[in-house]
Amino acid sequence: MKTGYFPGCSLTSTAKNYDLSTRAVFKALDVQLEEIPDWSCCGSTPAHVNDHLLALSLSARNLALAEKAGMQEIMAPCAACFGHMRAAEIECRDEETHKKVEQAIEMKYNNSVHVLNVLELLERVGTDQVAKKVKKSLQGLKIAPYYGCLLTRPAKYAQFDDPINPVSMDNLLAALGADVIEWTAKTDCCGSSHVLTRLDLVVDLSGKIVYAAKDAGADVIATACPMCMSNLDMRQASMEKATGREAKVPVMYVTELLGMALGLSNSDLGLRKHVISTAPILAKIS
Amino acid sequence: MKVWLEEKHSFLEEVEARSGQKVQECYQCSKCSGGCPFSREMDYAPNSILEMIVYGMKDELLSSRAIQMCIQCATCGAQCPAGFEMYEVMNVLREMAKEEGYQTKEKKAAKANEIFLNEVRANGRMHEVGLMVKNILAQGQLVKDVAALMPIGPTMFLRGMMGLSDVRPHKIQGQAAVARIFENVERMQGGHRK
Repeated sequence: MKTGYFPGCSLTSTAKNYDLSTRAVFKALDVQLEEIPDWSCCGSTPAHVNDHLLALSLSARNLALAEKAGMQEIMAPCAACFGHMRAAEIECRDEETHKKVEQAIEMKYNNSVHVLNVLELLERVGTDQVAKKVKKSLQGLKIAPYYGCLLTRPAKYAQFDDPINPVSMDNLLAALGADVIEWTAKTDCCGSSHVLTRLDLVVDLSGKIVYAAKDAGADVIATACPMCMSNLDMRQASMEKATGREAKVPVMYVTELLGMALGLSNSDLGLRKHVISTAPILAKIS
Repeated sequence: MKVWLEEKHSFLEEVEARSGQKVQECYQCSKCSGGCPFSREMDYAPNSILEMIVYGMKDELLSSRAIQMCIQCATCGAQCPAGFEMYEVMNVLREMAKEEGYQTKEKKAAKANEIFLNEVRANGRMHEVGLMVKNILAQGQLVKDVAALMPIGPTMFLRGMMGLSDVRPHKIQGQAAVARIFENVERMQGGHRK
């Protein structure tokens, strides 16, 4: 079965390394990903806070396109794309909502497409199967698994893992040989799109997460969200200025860490595309 | 599931029906407010909002900053011992504020959201550089915003996080179809969207 692939807007721009590493990792795991033809923006938080029907419809256009292309399931690596499209999948099961959405997108949609996040698809491959393909163990690397919000919340949409203490990323990273640390900020919000208008607030919220990882002895924070990545990785200079304390904690996509363990090349994974250099992490496991 | 109401209802009844949350059954433990990452930025804390709905304080709530600060991180719902999805109440209050033409005190976030949606409408996809530049120009704090980008901008180019190909938007083939979704929704929602 082919799985539809929804990269989402960020992965074509500032999160190219998430796109590169996702494609490379699933290829190495023999999972066929096929990009949804002419996909459009899921609407993300701005559509969500603006108009419920607009949010559902912008997401549903992609579900309808996937259905038309014969896809029964699609995977969206971005936690926000996943969250919003899963919400559309579930809300369209309501007859009246479904009718309104079809009218808005001017397309037929038979509610036949299931939306997955990246960890779900990896769970499907099986942690044991992934572990068998590890060429470079991540042994000795202390990783803080960071889930943020939309991978697991709202729970009625995500229907994935636990909304307060998720473990799916922990299990995957442990299977790669990593030393997965217990820490306090696993599911705290980074401040997300408030970065556009309230940088101070995002620097504070994201800073608490970065320093919590540092205090717990993490070498690197693992994430599965380009918005979290951008707030945690790009804003560390501002965090240092606000607190007077050094940060310098690399943040990496879970697919980059997995790709490293699978022995894929740094350039295939886009490992240099970070503000906080990942070089110390590469040095630790080679 | 959402309920689409047609007849006239009281504020409390409307919020309860549209959000699917039994507002009156909240027992005010305040966990939603404790866990909310944005409650310190809100003029009314989430648990107070539930009480205010019961008291019918519609004008205060629909013009509040609080309802515009919620971005559905859904921490409230995950922590509520009574099984409430508080963020659904916030969603409904925000929708009602827009439908009834209330002026919001949180203008900056609304502006940024509008710029984001206009990028999607014009290109079919969100254009990150366009969003960043237009937002900086629109928010009226040019010096501060540019200063915050100074430490990261050059690094992003040097490390290949951003390139020249990112400067211009890429229009998708279905751009017109996406723009029509905006038009259709505006028409269907009775033209209250700007």
